[in-house]
Amino acid sequence: MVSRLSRPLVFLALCLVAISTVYPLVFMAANTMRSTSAYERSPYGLPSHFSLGSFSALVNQVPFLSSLLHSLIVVVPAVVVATLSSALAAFVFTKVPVKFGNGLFWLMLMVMFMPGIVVLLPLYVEIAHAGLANNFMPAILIYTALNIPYGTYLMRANFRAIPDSVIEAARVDGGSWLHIFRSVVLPIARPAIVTIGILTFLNIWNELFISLVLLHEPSNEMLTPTLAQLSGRFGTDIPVLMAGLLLGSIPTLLLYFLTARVFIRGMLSGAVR
Amino acid sequence: MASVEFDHVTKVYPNGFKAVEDVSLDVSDGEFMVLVGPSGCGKTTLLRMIAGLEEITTGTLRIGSSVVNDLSPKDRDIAMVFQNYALYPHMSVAQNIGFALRLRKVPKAEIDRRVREAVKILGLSDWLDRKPAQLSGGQRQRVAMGRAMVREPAVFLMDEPLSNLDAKLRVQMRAEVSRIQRRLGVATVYVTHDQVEAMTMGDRVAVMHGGVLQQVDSPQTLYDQPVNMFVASFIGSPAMNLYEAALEPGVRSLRIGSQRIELPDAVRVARPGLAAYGGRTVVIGLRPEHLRTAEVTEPGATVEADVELVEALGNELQVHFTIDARRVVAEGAAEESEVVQSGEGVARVDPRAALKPGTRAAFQVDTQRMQFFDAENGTAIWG
Repeated sequence: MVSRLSRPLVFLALCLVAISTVYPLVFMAANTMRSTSAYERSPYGLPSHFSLGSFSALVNQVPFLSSLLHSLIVVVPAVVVATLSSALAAFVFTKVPVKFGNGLFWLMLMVMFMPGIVVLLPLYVEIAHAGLANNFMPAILIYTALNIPYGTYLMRANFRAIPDSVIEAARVDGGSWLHIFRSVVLPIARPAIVTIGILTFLNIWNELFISLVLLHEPSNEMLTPTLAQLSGRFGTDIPVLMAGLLLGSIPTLLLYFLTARVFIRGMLSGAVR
Repeated sequence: MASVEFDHVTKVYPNGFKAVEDVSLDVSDGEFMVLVGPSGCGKTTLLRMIAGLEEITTGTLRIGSSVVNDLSPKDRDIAMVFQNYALYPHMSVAQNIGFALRLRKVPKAEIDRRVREAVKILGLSDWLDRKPAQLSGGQRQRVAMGRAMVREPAVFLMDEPLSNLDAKLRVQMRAEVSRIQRRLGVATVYVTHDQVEAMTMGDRVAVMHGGVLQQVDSPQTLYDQPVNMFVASFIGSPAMNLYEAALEPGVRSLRIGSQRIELPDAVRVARPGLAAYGGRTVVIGLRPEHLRTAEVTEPGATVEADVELVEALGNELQVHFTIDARRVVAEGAAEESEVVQSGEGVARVDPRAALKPGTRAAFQVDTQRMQFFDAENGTAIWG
């Protein structure tokens, strides 16, 4: 219970949290509208003159649109496959009686605790040997594989809350394991699955190092390495970088707004606890 | 429709716990068989073995003429009602009831017909589009019943389906479940820990304890002729009073504490096995209704007791008393929390009997209905 006295304090604290979250976005959006010289004079507050020059500079300096497209080509299938595979794995680990299920789960968790960079270089050597360097498919597979343990771990906690008797009722009703997964588990766990899908999207969308190593030709470069090029060794054109970051976050924001209701339900139901 | 046959079935869990031990039991086609026993007695494990949700360690299980030990639940043609109903929360009432039929690819028109027929019987016609979360406990229970009914299965399995309902609704649904079962005529195995449910619903009742089947009989036979002390104390409420008693040589009388009760010839004729117990200690069982208040004490067939508490139920008085005999508690039959003092007992007497706590009263013993058990192993003494 929040007492009458502490209520304004809680409100104040929540306002501070909200401001600290929203301010970087406002700062980014405001500075895309400034010219470089205006930014150097004062980066704070609303711009006095609105200019869209940073957006045209962005498109001229780096292959922004093609990088955005490459990112979507890699991230979308990786998120879909990783999320569905995580859900299926979590279903098996929580509801299907399999021998050594627990052992397999812990083995999988080891991958989660292993830094991606440790496996990346050996993988790259193999991919290069197979003649698949600078190809989208290995990138999709690696992103998928690296995100499955994390998704499985989070979904396992959520699936445990589904009563075993509901699964047993479906078995007695005549469902195969796959049918039970599709018709019973997926609809019940939709909020958790959507939430974990969004988090996986964020993970891969913002990832830099793997994409830098696997897809380093301009013809297939992803968004993060492209934006990283805007940060120069001797100086950075901040408004142009901000324009890139703003446009680069549109897919994530769009995804969030499209699924906000389910996402919040998923967070509240403990999908990521 | 089919019968169910357990043939020397045992279930041992990987940790070595023996949940069910050497159970042989036949449930005939159309029969309502109730499995009853205290928590952890193995009754639910037995039911889940029929469903295919638990593996059988040794023994054979048949449904109809087929051995089903290795068949998956979906191939057994059984329907099950779960204790917590296990409804699909994202589906409406109609979708819940029709789910199994959709899985079996039954034509849509046929699914609609069967669902409508079931909801009509169960009084759920107005709730077809509701989700389980929008229903009351009683309505959810009916949806669970409907889901099992539309399947038209070979066997119905019910795992304590009424235990989550309030007392009034439980009585109502008890009658409803029995009516539906008789109407469908499908072999039904019903698990409960409530002996009133067992007695009122079952054609036959199987009493289990510690994974072992104790007795399978009609409710009345279980009540009148329990095979051991466990069944005697588990069936009947208030429970049967069990006391240590010394049979005198010749078995013409017995001594219970300091009091002597004469045994008529009819007792010895009905239980020839008693002859071997002359001069030995046995356990006697007296149902509370077999102790009547005696206006005129009849020598040799009454026990005197100190009245501790009188509970008036309207149609009868339940009189809690103590006598100077050693009370026996059958292992596993009493609730853990129940504190049983030496010599305690209960009698059910006429509501007009003038009994007051703190007084001494004489109870007439119906010696012909007295039960006798071996003090060593607890088995009933008959032939």
